[in-house]
Amino acid sequence: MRQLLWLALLGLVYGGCVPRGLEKPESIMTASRIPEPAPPRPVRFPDIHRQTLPNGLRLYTITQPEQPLVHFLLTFRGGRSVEEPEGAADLVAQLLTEGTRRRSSTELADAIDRLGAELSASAGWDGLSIEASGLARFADQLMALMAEVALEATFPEEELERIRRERLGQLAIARNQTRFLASVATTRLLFGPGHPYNRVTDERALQALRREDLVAYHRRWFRPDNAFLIAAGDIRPEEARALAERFLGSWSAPPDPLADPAMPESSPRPGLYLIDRPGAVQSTVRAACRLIPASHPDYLALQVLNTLLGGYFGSRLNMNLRETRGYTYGAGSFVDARRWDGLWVASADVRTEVTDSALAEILHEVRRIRSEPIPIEEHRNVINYLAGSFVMDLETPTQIARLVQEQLLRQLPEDFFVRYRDRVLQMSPQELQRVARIHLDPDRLLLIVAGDRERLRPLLERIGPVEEVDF
Amino acid sequence: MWIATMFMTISLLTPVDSTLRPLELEVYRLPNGLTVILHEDRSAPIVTVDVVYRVGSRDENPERTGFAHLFEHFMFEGSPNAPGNTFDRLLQEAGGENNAYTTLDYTNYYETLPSHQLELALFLEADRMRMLDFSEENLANQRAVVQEEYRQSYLNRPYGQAYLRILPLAFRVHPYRWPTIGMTLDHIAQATLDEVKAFFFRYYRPNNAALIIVGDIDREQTRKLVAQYFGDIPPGPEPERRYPPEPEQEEERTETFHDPASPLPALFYAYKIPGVRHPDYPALEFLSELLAGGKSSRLYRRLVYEKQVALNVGAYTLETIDPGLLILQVIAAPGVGLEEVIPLLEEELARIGNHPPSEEELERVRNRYETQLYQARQTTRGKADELARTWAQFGDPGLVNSRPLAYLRLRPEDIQRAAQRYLVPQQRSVLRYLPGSRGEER
Repeated sequence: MRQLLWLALLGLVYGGCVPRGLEKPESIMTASRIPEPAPPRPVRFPDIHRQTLPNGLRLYTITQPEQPLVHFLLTFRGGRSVEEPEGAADLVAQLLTEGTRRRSSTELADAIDRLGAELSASAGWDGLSIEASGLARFADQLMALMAEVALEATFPEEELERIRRERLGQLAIARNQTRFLASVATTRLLFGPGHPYNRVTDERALQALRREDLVAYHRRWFRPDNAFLIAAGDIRPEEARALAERFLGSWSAPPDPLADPAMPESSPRPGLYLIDRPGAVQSTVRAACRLIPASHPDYLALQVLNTLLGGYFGSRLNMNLRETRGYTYGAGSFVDARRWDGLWVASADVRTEVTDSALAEILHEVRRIRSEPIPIEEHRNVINYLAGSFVMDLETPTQIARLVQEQLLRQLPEDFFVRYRDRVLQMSPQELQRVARIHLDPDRLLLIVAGDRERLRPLLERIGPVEEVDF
Repeated sequence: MWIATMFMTISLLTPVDSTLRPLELEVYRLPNGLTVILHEDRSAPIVTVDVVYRVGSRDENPERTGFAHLFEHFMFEGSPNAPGNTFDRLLQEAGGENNAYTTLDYTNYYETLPSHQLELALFLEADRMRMLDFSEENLANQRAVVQEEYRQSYLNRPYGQAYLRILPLAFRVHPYRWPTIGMTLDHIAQATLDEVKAFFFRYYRPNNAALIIVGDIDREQTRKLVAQYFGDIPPGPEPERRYPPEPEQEEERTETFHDPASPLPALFYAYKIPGVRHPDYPALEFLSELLAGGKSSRLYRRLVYEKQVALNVGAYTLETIDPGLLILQVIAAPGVGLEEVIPLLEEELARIGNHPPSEEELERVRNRYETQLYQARQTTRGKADELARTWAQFGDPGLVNSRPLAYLRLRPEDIQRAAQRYLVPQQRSVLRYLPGSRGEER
């Protein structure tokens, strides 16, 4: 493979729509040979059909029948940010498909696999979602199974014990990966005690969780007025509604209101942190800081800025650390702006002996983006890349469903993706530099390194005092 | 018209509820030997341009393993009319995504971009098929990048070295005995510019490649553009393809490997199986799925769920042109040794040979196969990749429409027969992957 799959690794970079011509590519060296683009075809964000069931459940339908498939996505707001104790949302999601009032874990697996379908649940930072996808001819069975696990999950004690052991085994493997160690440290160091995003389902959390915790989370957050359903693919809105009414229509919301998570004041302590992984042949290096929630007016500008800095193959970080210096197979950065708060992370896996140099180059790039004007050609390249590639984020019904989910969960403006493409194309270099100066302060960055401590300590001490941590 | 015939065949012969929709293809060759495959899909203003070359790691000099993949990196380092990083820069500015991968048998390059930028992708792919910038500096940089890829994806990843151990255990003669990333970091470090040039002129000629264009295209206009950009690229001599055949394996081989970065013991069984063109191949793929695809598969149910001796199980076939492998892998549950896993695994393997799967089990595998086929076909990239693979492996892209039927028509006895014939101890190589200090023992 020539490059890592950035979108999968670093979080998606989203775009918007609306017809507007891309600037034609120009190259100073070879302008005469490069073909002119044809007139662009219009790009439009697809129509989303919206309706609300009598019990308050909102239903969004994206009808795209090119392939005979359907995808259902049922999302409950809150997710990990409201979990109590740590790890509860994560395990609720995993246990949903391990037993219901009607079926055991194996009976559920048989029923789903028989259709050749997928049914799974996962807990995100701001929402917990159940997904069912498969052949359109099985749409009713898929919806029935999804509703069954959502409403009638029983969280059997013996399945919890089995999953607990399984997760502990997976953690034992993950603890050998520098990338995992650096990622846990980022979460713990950036968000202080009691913060809704300071959550890791680690060994301690797994050992402490009890069945009653899962039942309580399920009872509290699984209610129709806290949920939305997205149906996408080879299905029409009236078909989706009929299925939703049949299988989710009799479900009702309790009267007590739901509260938002508490947000304690805290600010992370900048410094150089080291996590030991004896014998590692590469280190994971990261520079990280807190950022803004997704609803902040600077969110889009930060997305564009991040793309230029580390969000695509031609970004400054990748060009510097990979293409110029050969330190790494890939370097990049991402903005993860959530409902209540956010973070920015630059990351690379580099061979141990260049760990300090890699950190220095990351810092250099953060300083440079604030101090030097962004060249016009580079600016044009990045906005055209984002605006142009957005059409590829709309190719499948599943992708569109995820954008709709994103907009709803992170409370982005309703027309965020409709206007995205135009707004990106209008983003000036000055605007990018303005948000860099406000939000990316090199003196406030946390530098996090996971790797072979014995070899790393002398290298890192050249940069500054090193604090060893272990989470 | 074979397309019309295909429609009829489908309605007569697939299981009643299958909804297989054929891909309509236009396939032709340019005078220089380049195969062109067009599929029009106007559902979104997107196009994927894919160029696949029939060269993989099996074509490498045994002293330069990993070379085909290193060369893949070099293809992005500049060509006469798109020097330096122009390739990436222009595609990015057009809103395009691109990548490439190398397999044991072929190497595939692709870009997906807004459809009005089709001509740019053709220009760039043609320019680098015609000639490259052969520079020492670029080679030095990519040698370093690939070595980091080796460390990141194989050496620094738990169980990442299993594949590096299994191939040379199972193959002693055929070039499948080394992986695409290379047998050692040294081979990559030693690659020279002269070798890069020779490889280009031997394998990267139009007569050894196919150009696949899928998406929002006007076919007549596209044919013209293809002729304009690719028509005058000179062909090369037909590359020689002679691979020393692997002698029949007559007894089980075993190796134990210790890796301190992998905390739980794991077991890998690699069985010799025929290549993708063999009539038994579809049954072997279904057999892997039946054994370890999903929570109701036999190995998952027995080892992971019921007996809880395994953390996870996997089964897959290598999808090679020459005879390859079906690999089973089991990672033991915490506190469980391989001696507890092996008897249960053996029992399940014997069971599939003794009794055919039930109709229901087969239905599950069939539905899963069909779902995955359509999921991949949701994107222009997925369809282009299927066409590229099919051409590289079979020489006939039209098989994308007939080959799924070979899978959907499989009977329980076919799966049982494949298990009886191929899941035999004399034909397998066993890798015991254990925690502890680094090293191997036989």
